[in-house]
Amino acid sequence: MVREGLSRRDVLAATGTGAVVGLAGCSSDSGNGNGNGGGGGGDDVFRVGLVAFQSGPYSAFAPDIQDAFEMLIDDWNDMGGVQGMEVEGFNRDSEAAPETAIQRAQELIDSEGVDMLATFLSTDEDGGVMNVGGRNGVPTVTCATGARLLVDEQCNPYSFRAPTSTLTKAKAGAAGGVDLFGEEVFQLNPDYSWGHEIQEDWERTIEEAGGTVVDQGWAELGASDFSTHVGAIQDADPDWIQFGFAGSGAVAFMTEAQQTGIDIPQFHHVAYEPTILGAGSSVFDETRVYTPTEYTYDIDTEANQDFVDRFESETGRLPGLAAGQAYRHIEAALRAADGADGTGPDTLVSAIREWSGEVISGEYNMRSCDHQASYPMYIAEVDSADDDQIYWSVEETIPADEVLASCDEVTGRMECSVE
Amino acid sequence: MTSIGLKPRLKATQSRFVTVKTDIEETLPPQVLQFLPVIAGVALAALGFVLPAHPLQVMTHIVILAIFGVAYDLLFGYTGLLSFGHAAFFGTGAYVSIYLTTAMEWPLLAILVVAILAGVVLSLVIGIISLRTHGVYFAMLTLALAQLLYIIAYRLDVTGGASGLPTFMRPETILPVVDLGNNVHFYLLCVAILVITYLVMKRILSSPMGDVFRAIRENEERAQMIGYHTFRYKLASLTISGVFSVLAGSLFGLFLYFASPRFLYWQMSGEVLLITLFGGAGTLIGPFFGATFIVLLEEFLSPVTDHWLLFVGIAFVFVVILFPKGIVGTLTQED
Amino acid sequence: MVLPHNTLLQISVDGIVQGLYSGISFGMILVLTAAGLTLIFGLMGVVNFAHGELYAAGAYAGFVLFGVTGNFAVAVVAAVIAGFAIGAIMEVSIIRPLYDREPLYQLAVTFGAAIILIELIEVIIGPQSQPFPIPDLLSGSIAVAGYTFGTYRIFLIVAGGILVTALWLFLTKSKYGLIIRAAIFDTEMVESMGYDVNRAYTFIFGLGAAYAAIAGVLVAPLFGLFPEMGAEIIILIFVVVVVGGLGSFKGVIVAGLLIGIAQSFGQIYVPWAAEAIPFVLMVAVILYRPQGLFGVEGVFTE
Repeated sequence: MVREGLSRRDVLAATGTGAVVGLAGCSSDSGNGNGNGGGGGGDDVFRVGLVAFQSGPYSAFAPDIQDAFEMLIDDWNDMGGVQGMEVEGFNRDSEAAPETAIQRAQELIDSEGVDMLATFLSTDEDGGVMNVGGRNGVPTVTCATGARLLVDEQCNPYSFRAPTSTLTKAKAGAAGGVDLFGEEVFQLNPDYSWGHEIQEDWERTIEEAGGTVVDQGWAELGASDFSTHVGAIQDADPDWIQFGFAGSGAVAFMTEAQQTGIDIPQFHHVAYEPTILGAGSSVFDETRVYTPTEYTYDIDTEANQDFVDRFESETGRLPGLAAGQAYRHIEAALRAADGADGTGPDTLVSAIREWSGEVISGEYNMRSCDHQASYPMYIAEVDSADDDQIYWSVEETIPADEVLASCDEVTGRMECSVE
Repeated sequence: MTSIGLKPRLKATQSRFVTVKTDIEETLPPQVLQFLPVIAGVALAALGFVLPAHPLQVMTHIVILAIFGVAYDLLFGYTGLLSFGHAAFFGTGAYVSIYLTTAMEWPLLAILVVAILAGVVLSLVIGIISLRTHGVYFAMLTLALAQLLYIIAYRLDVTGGASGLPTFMRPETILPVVDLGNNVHFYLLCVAILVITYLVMKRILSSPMGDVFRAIRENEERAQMIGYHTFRYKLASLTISGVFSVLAGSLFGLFLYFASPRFLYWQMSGEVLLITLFGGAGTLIGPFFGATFIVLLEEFLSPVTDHWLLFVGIAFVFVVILFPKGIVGTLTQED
Repeated sequence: MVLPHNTLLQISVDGIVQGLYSGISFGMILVLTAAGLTLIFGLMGVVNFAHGELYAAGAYAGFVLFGVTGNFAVAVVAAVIAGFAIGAIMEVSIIRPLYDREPLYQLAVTFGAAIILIELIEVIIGPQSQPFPIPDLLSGSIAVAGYTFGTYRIFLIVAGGILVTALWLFLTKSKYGLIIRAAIFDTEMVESMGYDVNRAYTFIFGLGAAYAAIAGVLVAPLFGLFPEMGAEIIILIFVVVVVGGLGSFKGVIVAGLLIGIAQSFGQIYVPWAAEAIPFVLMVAVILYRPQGLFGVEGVFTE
């Protein structure tokens, strides 16, 4: 088992083609020796490695991710495995540090010989691990939504991902916000590369949806004092607020807004439940919080309701955004792998990049032009909250083709395109 | 003046700053000593040929952190200056090597030359600002300056912002037989740079300049009174330390095929302090053992507990209080 | 890169009022936290890297007690007690063995303590953010001359002012405060008078820690709690004490408010540079006066 992982890496290193294959973007046809012989062949086990933050600032999402991953592996083994092979899951903690995430991913390949990598990581870790997958020729499925840069410049023929969150979320959210509340928008975003993407994408899509940005504010990433911004919002008196912070910034902002008595609807670009619960359940009595989201437990498909029921009976809580994202993306990749003919990396890559079908949340298409998944988006509102649960309701469903830029628009800049 | 507290108790005992006068070399015969770094280097290099893939990665990580630690020790252990901002050098090195590899496709030698130049420039800027102060002021200033670099790297497009900069390949070398994409070759490069770093530091420390560094550590006022322009010597120590820290960072970037703003973050500065104090400040080879200890501790503890850092923290506090000379300093103590 | 700004607040009376209000209330938190750090340094020569974690510990102690009693006053008292206790334990267990060593070792050991305290918060309370509601009595807003101000922030400014004044009066006017300062400047003399100097050290460290803790619990209703909250603020606190002059009480007050206000105006007028403002300010001060605005190196000054 360990030998196998080694040999794959050694082949790549020895021929020196691993990296070249990646850059040339012709992986599926390259057949550089590892395509046929690699993977799990021989011992009838399909190995999936997950690198996700389990400790560090994002560790509050960890239980959702871990539980969903374990459930998924069990579900597949109950169904008879991938191509009849037992599925084995391996779990590594990235510690929210890129250097650790990269080394753990490499270790999963070298020591466990995984056939496929999945990640649930922060923006600063994602690129490094996608790169590990690409260099080693291991298909890598990124479950967390991330920065546009990751898709535009850092993707490679082996990387597959949830749509870049900035554009899809902005398209869904801007349409929903203008539709539900009106045209005048105040933007408040974190002042660093990802925040700039969020701001630009929302501004553009708000204008496309017929709205206008009446004013905007920026705060540093670790900001905890939002009083100047709340003052600016009061002055601008917009119909709704586009808000780009996650983490402690979101908590501080919601508290400040509630404190000042602002009851303007807030559209949170990202709303992971464990984070926004940090503001306390009472905040949601008065504050109207919306988010354009890829997943909530309230999505009305039979498969999802079944998933939600089982998740709740096993863990005692409803699956959050992180659980749904982790389950759905890895599920899609496993379904693709199940339909493939063999488990060599290039076979898997060609199976995943063409795959479309049904996952727990409904339709799911992997676009071969840019390796981004495409699925509907939802405008979800926080109905209420108690000490350890956010209760969502889906307000609007935005079809998949309305939120993702079409392949014609994007292919020019896509490094991961295999064409 | 170096004195920080005016508490009489502190002043009277200042010269008790831990000095490992019993350097490891004094316990060994000079003939062995002469070749010791080379012998150790060859032994380390030999490991590269026998270790499987993952242990080789771990070993490479240790060697790179050891270079960083040895560079840090010159400033902290021998000159008595506690920098809490050495991540500035380390992270800059990673950006230099990754950027020049991907955007410029430069060969290794050119990258290393630029890294050295970047190290000199950065050291001079940081040094001229922060060396106007002493002691804990210096520590806090270096920390703040490194954080400023972190903030900048997090925002700029050329650094990839938060997403960082990846590379798909390691640079070419002028020697056709060396392929850095081969992890064994890359490891051997790291070992070679570790040995060179050690020998250069050794050389500097046995020169008159090294004596002035130690004199500054023991009592800067006295060194000034003897007639040394201590500011210049401190700047020299910071620059040499900075240049080798940038080199270590360049290797770190190539090791991971990635540069991230996190490499500029204060936790990276804390890590090199941990490594140096664990191994033994003022021993020069101590940081190698400190790096080994920290990396292996994480390797073995992190699968068992999410809170392995708790044990690092506890171990560190114990070492600082009970074994201020670190692993190496304690083992080579003569009394 | 675009240089966005809040156009509606551009150079207006509104902008100035808003900037001062935000800046002073946040600056007061910086002052309270930095006062503890500078007190410990000025009197004992120790720079406590774990000071941010004492700030976090205060917030968490208050959080736990607020959860049990629902009473904010109890939460504040709990924070003070917890901060004082942790500070005193730190002094006795890890700082005291190092008094006869170079001060850099004390800084190093408190770095270890910071790691331990962050991990302990994660183990005991959990890694996720925790809510800390604003007490009912202090919630809502006050209207003054056509401007609305959050009641809690006004409370923060007033409470911070009182606490800082109280600390200053204690150290400069009260008998015990004078003995403590004397003990530290002339150990033998005070010991010969029958006072226990070790106890004075422990007390000072505890007192400085308690000020960090109270800042933590006061800020918790505004910013929420998370394990790294201390690590996040400590760099800014270091900038405050370097600018003000380490060991200077006046320096901390001036620099804390200055940095709070500068950052607040920065967010309004030059948001793309706001985060860098404290650092730029620090470099400028250091180049002009290496010992900080009011610092006399190594001495506690009023």
